[in-house]
Parts: sequence; C-alpha cells; structure tokens
Amino acid sequence: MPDRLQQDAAFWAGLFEREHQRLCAVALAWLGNLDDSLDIVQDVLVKLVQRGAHIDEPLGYCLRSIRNAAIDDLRRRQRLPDHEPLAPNCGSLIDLDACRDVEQRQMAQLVREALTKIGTVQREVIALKIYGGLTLAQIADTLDIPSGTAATHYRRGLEALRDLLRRQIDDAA
Amino acid sequence: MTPPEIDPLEHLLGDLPAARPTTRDIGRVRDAIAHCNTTTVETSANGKQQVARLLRQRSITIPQAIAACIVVCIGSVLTTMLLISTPHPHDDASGRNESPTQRRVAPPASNGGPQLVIQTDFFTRHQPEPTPRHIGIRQWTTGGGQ
Repeated sequence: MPDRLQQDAAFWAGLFEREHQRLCAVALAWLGNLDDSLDIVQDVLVKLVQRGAHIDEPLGYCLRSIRNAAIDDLRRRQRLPDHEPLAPNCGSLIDLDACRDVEQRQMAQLVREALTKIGTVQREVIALKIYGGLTLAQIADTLDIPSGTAATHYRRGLEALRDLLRRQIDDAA
Repeated sequence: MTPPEIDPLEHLLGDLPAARPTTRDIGRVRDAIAHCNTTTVETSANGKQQVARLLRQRSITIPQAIAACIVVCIGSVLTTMLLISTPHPHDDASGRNESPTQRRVAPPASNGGPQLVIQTDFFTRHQPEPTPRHIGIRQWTTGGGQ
C-alpha cells in the first residue's frame, strides 16, 4: 500500500510555492488587491496546516476555499448581507504597471473596462483561464459548475468581449 | 497533427501582463505557512479519528471549566446585590431612610379636617397597585378635630 503524502506545513508551503499564481488569481479576481489576496491565501493555508486533516485533492480544495474566503472577506468589507449579490471585478488580474508601452497599457485598460460589462461568471472564467493559468476543469471545480458549462461561459464570454472591444476601438478611431 | 488554432482574441488577452506577487511576498507567505505554530500530524487511514482527536484537543480543560463557573456565579451574585441595593424609582425620597413598616404621617390639612391615611404593607411597597387586602384605611383627626 503506497504511503500517503504527509500533508504537513512543508507540504502546504510547497504547494503555495508551486501554485501561487493560481491561488492568488482566484482571490484577486474578487478582492482587486494583491496584498489582500496574499493574506487570504496565507490564512487559508495556515488553517489547513493547523487542521491537519488529509485532503484528497489539495489544489482543488485550496482553490475553492480561497474563493469562498475571498467572497466572504469582500462581503464583510462592503458590509453586505448574505442575500446581496456580489460580483468579481477581475480587472485587477491585469497588471497595468507591467505593460511594456503606452499602446499595451491602453489595450489593457480597454480590456479591463470590457470585462466589467460582460456576465460575472463569464468574466471570472475568462480571467482565471487567461490570467490565472487555471484549466477549464480547475475553473469548473472552483466555481462548482459543470466543465461543459465552464467551457460555454468561456466561449460566450470571449464573443461578448470581442464585440465590446471592436465597438470601443471603432468609437476611439 | 496540426495544433489547435488559437483565437486571436485569446492571444491578444494573453499578451497583457498578469498581476503577480513579488518574489519577496511569495517567500514571506511560504515561510509563514511553513513555520505556523502546529504539531506534525501523522496521516492515518481514518480521517475521522484525526478530526475527533483535534476536537478533543481544542476543548477546554476541567480547571478552565471550573474557573468559568466560578466567574459566572460571582457575576450573578454581584448583579443580584446591585439590583437589591438600587432604590425603587417610585420611592419617596423623604422616606428613603424610613423603616418599611413605619407609618407615614400625613401633613396636617390646611382646613384642620380629617385626613385619610393609607397604610400599605411592606411587601406591597414596590407594587404599582397594592392589592385591597393589604390596605388598611384609617381616619385621623388633627388639631381640634370636630
């Protein structure tokens, strides 16, 4: 019988080191701030270490837990009751400061603005796939939707973005 | 086998820089996770046993429970004493130092006529409306009487 991998503090620290981009992206999509996202990721992983229970799919579990924790934190900050809907911003997944030139920065701002105008689930799926590096299967698991639905959201989201960007570029011209 | 065509929009979106934590932040969080205060937990075939053990570890000890009970009891006694010593809002200020069974003497009437004094029992003192069986009505004459 193969030895089960010991999920101690070193294990979770190693997971964070390998998957920090994915883990932070899930929180950043909701919180809009990288420092807050890192705090959420750290809190979730520290709690997992302290709990000490063995998780069968650690990365998937982490992604779901981090997303839930980010949503709870956002709701707490905005002091919204549970029945009030929240939406991820996702624009902060694009780093404007890291753009190589003015043209790319302008395109980044257009994309950020266009993301706010498409559906919330489509927005999150696109942002996590392209900027978070998650696969559609991981996104489906994180958002608790079927993988086919995630793929549909991704495709329709891209179509909506394409129309919006085309209109914005035509208006700017 | 030809590779799947990449949507030009995907390519455009992917060309934009993604927000990433700095190397320093990654190291800080990694160290915080690696050195958080915990004991090493051995994996076991039955995860429920692990959870039950952790729950028992997190429960309060017997001395803590006894101390909590003592604090609650003392708090209850102090609260009760405070409530008893607080004067009743309907008490007459002039009668604060009176014996509760002391008869209250009505001031003499301006016309010298009889006065009606209602003597109430101590136990009805704090009731808003005294029950009839506790009221003894006496009639007084003052001054020259009639």
